Amino acid sequence: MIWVRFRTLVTGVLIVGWRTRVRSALTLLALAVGAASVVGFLAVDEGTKAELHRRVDTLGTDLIVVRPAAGAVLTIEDAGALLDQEAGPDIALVAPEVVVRRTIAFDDFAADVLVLGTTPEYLAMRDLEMAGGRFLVDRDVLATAPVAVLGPGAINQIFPRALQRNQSFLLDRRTFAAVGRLKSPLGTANAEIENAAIVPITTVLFRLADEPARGLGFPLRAISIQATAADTVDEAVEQIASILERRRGRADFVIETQEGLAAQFRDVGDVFRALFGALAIASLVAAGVGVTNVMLASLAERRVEVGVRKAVGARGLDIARQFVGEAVVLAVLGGALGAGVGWWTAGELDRFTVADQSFAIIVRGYVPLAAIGATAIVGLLFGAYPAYRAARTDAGEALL
Amino acid sequence: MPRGPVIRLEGVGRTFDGASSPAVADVTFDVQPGEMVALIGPSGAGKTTLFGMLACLDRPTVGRYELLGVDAGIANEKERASLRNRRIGLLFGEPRMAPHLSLQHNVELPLEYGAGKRYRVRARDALARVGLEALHRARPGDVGPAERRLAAVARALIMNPHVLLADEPVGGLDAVAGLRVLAHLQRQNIERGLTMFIATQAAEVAVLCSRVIAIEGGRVVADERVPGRRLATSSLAAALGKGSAFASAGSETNQ
Repeated sequence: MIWVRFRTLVTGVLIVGWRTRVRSALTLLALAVGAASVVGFLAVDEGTKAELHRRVDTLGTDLIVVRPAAGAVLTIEDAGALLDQEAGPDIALVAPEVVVRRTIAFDDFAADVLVLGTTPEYLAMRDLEMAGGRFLVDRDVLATAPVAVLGPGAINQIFPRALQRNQSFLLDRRTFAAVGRLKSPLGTANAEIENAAIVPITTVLFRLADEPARGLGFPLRAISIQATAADTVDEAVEQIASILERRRGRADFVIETQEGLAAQFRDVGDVFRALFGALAIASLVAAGVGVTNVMLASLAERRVEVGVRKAVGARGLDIARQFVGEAVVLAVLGGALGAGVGWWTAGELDRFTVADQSFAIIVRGYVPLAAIGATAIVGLLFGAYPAYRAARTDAGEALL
Repeated sequence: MPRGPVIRLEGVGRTFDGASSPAVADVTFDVQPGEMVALIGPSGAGKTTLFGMLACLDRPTVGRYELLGVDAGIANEKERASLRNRRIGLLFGEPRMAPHLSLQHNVELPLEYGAGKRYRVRARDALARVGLEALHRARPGDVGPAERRLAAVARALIMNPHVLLADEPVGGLDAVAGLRVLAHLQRQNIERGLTMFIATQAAEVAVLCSRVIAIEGGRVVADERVPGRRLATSSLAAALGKGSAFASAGSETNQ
């Protein structure tokens, strides 16, 4: 007989489970927590990886964003200073951003949307694509032109039917021309412009901005900067810092790199991985001790059975297989329970947010199997000692 | 069945760790196919020690033990497990049933380590032959001692062994129940020629055998053939008050 007879295995597990029901239940619980933690660990791991991949894919690693520190104001003149080729040789493109909320309207439709004022460079820097028409051009900026590029969501809200090229509509009760529309999907990093109207930055500064902030002193939300290459990002960051500090006399701004954001993101991911990992290891070890305990108790009760089995022809190896098999079945029962609960929970949660970082929870098909596999290994390892003891049982002593 | 003796012992002895004198010493005898041998002696004489060695549950410390031509005393664990599985049927002083398993599952156990096929059918057959087919689902604790013992007989015989080794096969049973078990065993010997070796203190068991070996202090003190042995069925009939009291059977000719 190559493997343990199925009926023997099932009967054995039922006997163990019933005879040590409290201990077995606790062991199953620990196994379930362990398996669920393995699911959690792998789900966060996959989610973090996918999220990082997507962000870096969308924005590239050469994007740098400068934001004002709390209470400070960056203006378009600060952005202009960054274009100094001598002080900032590794700065390739600069796109200042200002935002206001305004109403857009067409026909009977109206929507309150984000109006983003920026420059033509923004398109390439954010890896955006046009679905039709054109993006902003330098002439629009110089002329404070009443033109707008619309996000797919904004279009749906006020143009339920087809949008004509250069269709005029109202933005803040002024007539604007819709010169282009952005292509969907925009990607998570560009989620905010799904429902936005993008206009020349000068149009916001001189036409849309409220008094008294209207004009060149209007506060920027951020300045997007592209370095000359991915490996000159560090130099560009230094140059940005030195230019702005010299101009402003103090470092009242924050410079974010994608690498830095990714690292921050990874750090939060690491914390969760460590948490789930520690929980998984702790509960699986506890479960393992439970498995050993339960199987030893079972052996103590079943000395006669083991003796009889040996007397009718079982080798030590047969007995060991039976006991290891029972331990593995027990472990896999707990593991399947935990993997099921973990899988269901992960499916319900979808994603979660910690420290301003939103994590996708991704449970791939292999994840529950891996969790069950982990518990099976626990059964194998921690069932080995009781199995060894069982195999060594002296049939003569047990029976005669 | 191979030619030659089923059991051959040559100067077999067993000394336990820490004991000054051997529990069994210098035992030499053969058991031929078809014999039904009683090993008698007072308690502590070494019957169970000898039984353990014959059953391949223990090994002699000196001497040579051949079972069906195999040197079982020095065979490795795998070979000895195979001998226990295919060549020997074992009956213990207690029926030794796994308490958590049904009678049928208990009877099936040898099949798990032999050619395990058609468990259910073979186990039911074996139980039917001892008259327990109705009790196959019962646990050992749910049936009486005689039924437990008969189930143990069914288990011992399910692999069609060459020799049945028994240690006090009717210990703890009342006279009638004991005779039922013995009648079954004796029928196996007489009708099928199954070789048997029975360690017992009970004279009523010994009189059913064709040969009696007496042991005392670990040594063989007598070894005699029994010319006319009694039939267990007759004794049973007598015990139940039917038929003649001592139907002596000079009747291995019955075979």
